[in-house]
Amino acid sequence: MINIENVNVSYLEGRAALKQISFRVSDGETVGIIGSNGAGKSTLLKAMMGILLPSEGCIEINGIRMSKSNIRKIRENVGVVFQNPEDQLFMSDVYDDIAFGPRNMGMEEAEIKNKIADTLKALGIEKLIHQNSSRLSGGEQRLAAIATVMVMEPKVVLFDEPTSFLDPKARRKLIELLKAYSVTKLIATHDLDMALELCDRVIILKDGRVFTEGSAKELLSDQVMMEASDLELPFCLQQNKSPI
Amino acid sequence: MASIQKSFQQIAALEELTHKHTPLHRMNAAVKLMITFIYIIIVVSFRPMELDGLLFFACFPVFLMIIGEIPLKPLMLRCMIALPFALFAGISNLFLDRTVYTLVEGVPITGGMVTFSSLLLKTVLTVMAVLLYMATTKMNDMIYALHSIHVPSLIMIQMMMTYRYIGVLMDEAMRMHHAYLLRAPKEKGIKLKDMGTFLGQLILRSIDRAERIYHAMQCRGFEGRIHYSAKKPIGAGGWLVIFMIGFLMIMVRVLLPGEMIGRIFIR
Repeated sequence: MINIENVNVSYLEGRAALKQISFRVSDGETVGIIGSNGAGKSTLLKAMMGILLPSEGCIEINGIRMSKSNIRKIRENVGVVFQNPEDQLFMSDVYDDIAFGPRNMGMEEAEIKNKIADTLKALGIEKLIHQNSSRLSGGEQRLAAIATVMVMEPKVVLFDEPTSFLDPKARRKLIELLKAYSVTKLIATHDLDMALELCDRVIILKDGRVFTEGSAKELLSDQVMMEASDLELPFCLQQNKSPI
Repeated sequence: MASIQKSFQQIAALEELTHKHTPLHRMNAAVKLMITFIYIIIVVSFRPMELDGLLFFACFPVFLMIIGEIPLKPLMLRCMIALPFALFAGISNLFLDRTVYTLVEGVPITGGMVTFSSLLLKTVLTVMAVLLYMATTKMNDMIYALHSIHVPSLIMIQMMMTYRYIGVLMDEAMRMHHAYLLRAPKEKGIKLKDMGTFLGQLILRSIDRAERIYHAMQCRGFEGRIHYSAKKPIGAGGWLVIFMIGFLMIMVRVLLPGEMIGRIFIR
């Protein structure tokens, strides 16, 4: 369960990035965070990971209230997949990259090895285990980045633009994978077709505030609301086509 | 910038060589590291006038190149980078020591020439030994080799991050360079007046990227120390190989003084 109440976040120069943000996410729900550029999507994810601490308000994840002293506990419960997988893969091979988190959690190496094998199998990327992360394709890097988070078995996973840098086939593979991944998911994205297909609910941000929230199907098909949010209808609804 | 691209290709070329499956590639990385270290110590221990003894030790990299199926060209290209430093350090010897050391076909060879050549040869041999180690050992195995000989974690983190992000930084620099040239098609490179902005932007982008990487590390529990899996011990077989090769090198160094080796070559 995620509970965000009246959260304000400001950048160092004093500019407000998030203003009075409040929402709740139930266990197992998949929620899309959408909005135009600069609406505050990535900042919200950063605040939920304790990278940016709110100046006001409260963030509570699985009963743990965010504060400087318990950021570690929060991070044990929450995983984040960054927009650019290159930022997430910094070790010299995929195995060590995936093992990075569990080792920091103090897990035994034998257990880590088993978990990595299971995770890679679930993602269908077993062959990448000893490859240099920098030599992978965009799609492979994305899957390896997801593996680095999945292996830690977080209860909540935050995705920042998960379909960026992906070709249509890799995007489709990722969507199917996210459908099968049964944890609480928050997906910040511009890919409205994906949001429509994956999310139970969407929260629309505008100028650092929650503009509106509701069922993904209802909100994303409401042309007036979408235009008022500086967005447009998902491609599949514009063209009266099935989701891409 | 073309040279940056070329350097990047050279790094990648050396890394490609680590994917071969020769006995040298399969050897424990820590064992290779120890042997390389012994070799470098022995090569450096030669006195400046013992050029002939050094020539004998040139056989070692040649032998490794053969069993490791490593071509000479990529190693020489990388080796060239170190040579100017040795050239500058030793060139004064040519002028300062003009005493005739020996005559070859009536041509006087001065002491300065011998010591200068000795310095160059030492540089080539030691750099070659390191390059051969790099060309036959994957980065990950190198890190674990350092881990097994108790190198501090901080040094390993620096090495790994530098290696990982040289490529990313060069990629960024090349992208910026392409973007520049596309808007300045008549220019061959970046104008001097734009160089400050270019480098400034590159630094800002690098800082930005470094910050994102740090956040990604923090999100997975990083608290200033990277944990590696258990050390890969060298093992009895490994120590035996180190001892045998080390012993052989020391024997050659001690028992075959320069004059004797010189005689072998002259015959």
